[in-house]
Amino acid sequence: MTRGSTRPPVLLLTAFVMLGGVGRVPTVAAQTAPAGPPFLAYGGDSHRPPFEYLDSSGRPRGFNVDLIRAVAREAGIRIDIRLAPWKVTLANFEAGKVDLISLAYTDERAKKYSMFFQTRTLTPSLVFIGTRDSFPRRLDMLRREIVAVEDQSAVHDFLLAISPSARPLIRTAPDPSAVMRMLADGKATVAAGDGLTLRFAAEELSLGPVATIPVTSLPYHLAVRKDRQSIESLLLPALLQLRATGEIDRLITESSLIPGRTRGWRDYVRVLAGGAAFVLALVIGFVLWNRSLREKVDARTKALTASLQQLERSALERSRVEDALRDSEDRFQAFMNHSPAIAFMKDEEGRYVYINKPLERRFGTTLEELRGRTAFEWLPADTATALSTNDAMVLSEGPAEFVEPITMPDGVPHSWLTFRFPFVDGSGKKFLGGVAIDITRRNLAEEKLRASEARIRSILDNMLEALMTVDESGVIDSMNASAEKMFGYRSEQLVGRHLRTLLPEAAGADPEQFLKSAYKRAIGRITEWEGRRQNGEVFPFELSLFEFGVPGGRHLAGSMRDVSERREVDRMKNEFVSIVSHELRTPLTSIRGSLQLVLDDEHAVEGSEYRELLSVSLANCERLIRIISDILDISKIEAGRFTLDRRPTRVRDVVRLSIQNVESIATAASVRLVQHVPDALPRILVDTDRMVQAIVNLLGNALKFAPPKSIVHITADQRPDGGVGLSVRDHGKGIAPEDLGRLFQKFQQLDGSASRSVGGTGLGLAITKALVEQHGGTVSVVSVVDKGTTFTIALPSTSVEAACPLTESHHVDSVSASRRSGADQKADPDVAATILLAEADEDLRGVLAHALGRRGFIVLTARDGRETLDVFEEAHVDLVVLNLVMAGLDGFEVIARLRASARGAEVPVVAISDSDASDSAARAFKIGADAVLFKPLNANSLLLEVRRSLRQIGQTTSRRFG
Amino acid sequence: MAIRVLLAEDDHGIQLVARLALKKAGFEVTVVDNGAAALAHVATERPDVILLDWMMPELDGLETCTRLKLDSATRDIPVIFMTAKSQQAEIERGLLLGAAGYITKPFDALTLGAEVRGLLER
Repeated sequence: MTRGSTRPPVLLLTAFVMLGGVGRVPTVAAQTAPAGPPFLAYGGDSHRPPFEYLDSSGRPRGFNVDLIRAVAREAGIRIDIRLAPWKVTLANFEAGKVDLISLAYTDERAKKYSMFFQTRTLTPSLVFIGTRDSFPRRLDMLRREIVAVEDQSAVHDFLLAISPSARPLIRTAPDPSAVMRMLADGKATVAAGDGLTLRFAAEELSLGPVATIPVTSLPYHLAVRKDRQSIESLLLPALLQLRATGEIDRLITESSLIPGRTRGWRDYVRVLAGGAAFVLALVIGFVLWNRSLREKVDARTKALTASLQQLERSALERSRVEDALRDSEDRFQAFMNHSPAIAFMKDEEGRYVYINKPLERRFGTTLEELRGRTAFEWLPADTATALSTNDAMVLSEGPAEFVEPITMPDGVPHSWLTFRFPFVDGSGKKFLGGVAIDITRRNLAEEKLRASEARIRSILDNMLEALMTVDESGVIDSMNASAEKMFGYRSEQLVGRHLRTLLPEAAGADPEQFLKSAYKRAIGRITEWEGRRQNGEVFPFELSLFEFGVPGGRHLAGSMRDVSERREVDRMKNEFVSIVSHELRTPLTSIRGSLQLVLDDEHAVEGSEYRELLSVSLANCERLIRIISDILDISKIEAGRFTLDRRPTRVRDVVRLSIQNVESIATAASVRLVQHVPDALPRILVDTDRMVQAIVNLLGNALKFAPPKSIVHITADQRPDGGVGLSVRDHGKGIAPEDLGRLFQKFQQLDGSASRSVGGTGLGLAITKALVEQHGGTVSVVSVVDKGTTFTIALPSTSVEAACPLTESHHVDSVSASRRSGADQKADPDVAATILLAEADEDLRGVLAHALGRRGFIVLTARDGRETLDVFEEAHVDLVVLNLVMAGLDGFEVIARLRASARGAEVPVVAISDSDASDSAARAFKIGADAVLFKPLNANSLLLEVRRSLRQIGQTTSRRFG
Repeated sequence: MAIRVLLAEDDHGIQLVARLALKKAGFEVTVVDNGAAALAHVATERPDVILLDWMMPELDGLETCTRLKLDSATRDIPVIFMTAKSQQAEIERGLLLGAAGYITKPFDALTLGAEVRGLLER
């Protein structure tokens, strides 16, 4: 649309209104309404047919003019119509000199003016002259065009709003006629503006046929200044009335007639008018005929006008519909052609009616080539047969999905996932549609995945370790071949079943508890468990658990190793070592003892040579004994059967004992031993014997290499990390750096030469290292050739009393080595008290007996109530520990009978109760128990209770074990 | 008065050495070949201490000790085991039964007597 949109329409009225005291303004053309009522002024464009214009005689004409006149009439007010060049009119409107104008609606204008009534619709259009191959159908399709447009019109604004990349070259003209002239002169390839206005202009200029393509529509409004909105109420009732009566529509119809189309009959009218004089002059009687002719002409004119209008409308309508269709078609094409899927349509006979661009591209064909042809005409016969079979199936049975192998034009086979569906068009014709995506790559990926899964599966099935996964509740979800072999089941027998099947009866009874404890114990480390094979055999296995999340929840995977064979081998080895050592020691005992006793008698062997020979025998016998002892030690350490009895010990004592051990050797070698032990050192938590053994090995080593008259230093200090260090330094020949690595290996004797008075076993340093590591410490060595060597034992802060006070429980579960040669535990005043322990459970009985025995108590045991009473009867007992639950005679009964007897009336009784039976505790107290302990039992609390109970009667009983 | 020792030991070499060593240390020594003989001896004569070899035919040291300790007539006689040290776990059981201690084989013939005295004094 042209100016219609930017400024008020084309034709102009000049009207001028004065409201109240506003002074009158002269007008270009004025029409005076009846005097009296208030009057308004309508302003318009003097050259915008068919909306408003001054005709050749200077009178305002056009749709707007007719409408305003109708409004004035209807409302009974006077409205002056003043048409002037648009700029003037607009200036007058802004200045308040006119009250009312007509404007195409834009948001911009709506902000500025009150556009209060839509009178009609404008159709901004593109107008072409002559023929061309294609017509742009939208403003944004004009990139290659030169567009003539009325300056500052709404369409001008629209064009300027197009993004620079799509914007055409724009040429502006002052009015619609100038726009069309520009087009006619070839200065523009297309004119843009209100279609009706431009066509009127074309007609005016006799430009011949023009093509008009509407691009949008715009409301056309009456507008007043915002400060004059009161005028609206004067006019609205009349406007609404006119709309209701169809008057506005009639005016639109009339005004939309293109003058060129009507010229024929207007000329005709003019001819008739010219002839009328002749007719009048000649035949008065023809007047009537003439009049009737006129009426006919009028009627015909009207009919013609109406039908033209109808035509115009339907043309407009069609062009819109076509436009919409084209848009929709465009969208459809764009959609299909940008789709990653190929698409096709075939008729019922399998002839292609459509393929999209992606199909064209992938298969190197075009729609033109394929249209009307079948698959057999362009694909290999087997492929075509397969596709046609699928087509036929879908046409008869409905939509389906296929994976179709098709060899592509480049000879490479691809897989297509195709969805085929039948459909019917508007005429009832049946078609087959299809879309397909290339899944070759996905298939390859899947194959790879399958291959990788197969590989992993094969690895899992061939690995030695047994693997099993269970869900949170312990239901088995998978296992590998080793697991099948280990348990003797096939996986299909187990998957889906609870793992209690694989547990020994005891653990299987409460699988939930088992799982919980397994989780606690085995997650992330290796622990040993018992399993049950299909044949019922119970066997030990090592288990390492890890947890993993899957969409279904938390799962556990267990990696297991059957260690029954290893255990058996271990057992045999231990037995062997034990037997061998016994078999060796027994004769050695005799040999050494004999030699010792003979040599001890100064007169037994006369003559120094023989005595010398016996001394050599004794020394080598000693050495053999040491070697056996070291081998036993190291095999025990390696078997993990080595337990430490750690107690708070003064560093000074450890050092002193160590030195005592090697003093004679040092003297023999003329080497001085010097100790440096600060007074302030905290006590260390060590198995004294073992720590002494470790240090003695180092000292022995140092003495072996220390030159005569030199000094071997043994130094203790507190380390920065809170631990304690013990080092042994000699001034020997040192160790070559390349030999340091072998130093702690077994049977490594760096010094090939015969040892001095002490024969080395080659195991000393290895034992020292193992012992220190068992204490959580490390052994390191620094050596400088020809200067000497320093070995350092570093005990961590956790092995130092201050950092980690020793708790009783440290003692409880380790087997004590302390009674050997009757060393420790002189301190315990309770030693020698005899405890009768009555417990049915063999394991618990053993543990408790150990714990008490280690503390120096004499422990007598009984398995049930009867035995308890028997032992009590026979032996002297200072205290009874008994479980309340025992077969036959239970704990309550035993206590009752003890209390009833003369000897048992006073003896302290510590009862052990199941934790959930608190009433049984009360009962036990009532009967005469001195203390009740609850399961799970803590050996530590048992000891405390035992000592407490003994002390309570200490006054009277101390002489018994004092 | 000399301390009377009953030694139950099946190995004759050790019997000889131990007897001599203990005699030199001032003990009065009686030697038997196994546990059963030891029990038989104890039934008639009460020694001040019994030295039991761990591994013996007929009745081994542990069993012998058990019987001695369960018998109120003999339970007060101190028992000392003589054994190779690889059997510590079992020795623990012996100690729990009330043994006074143990002496590791091979024992030192020159200090055997002192060791026994030490254990008895505890």
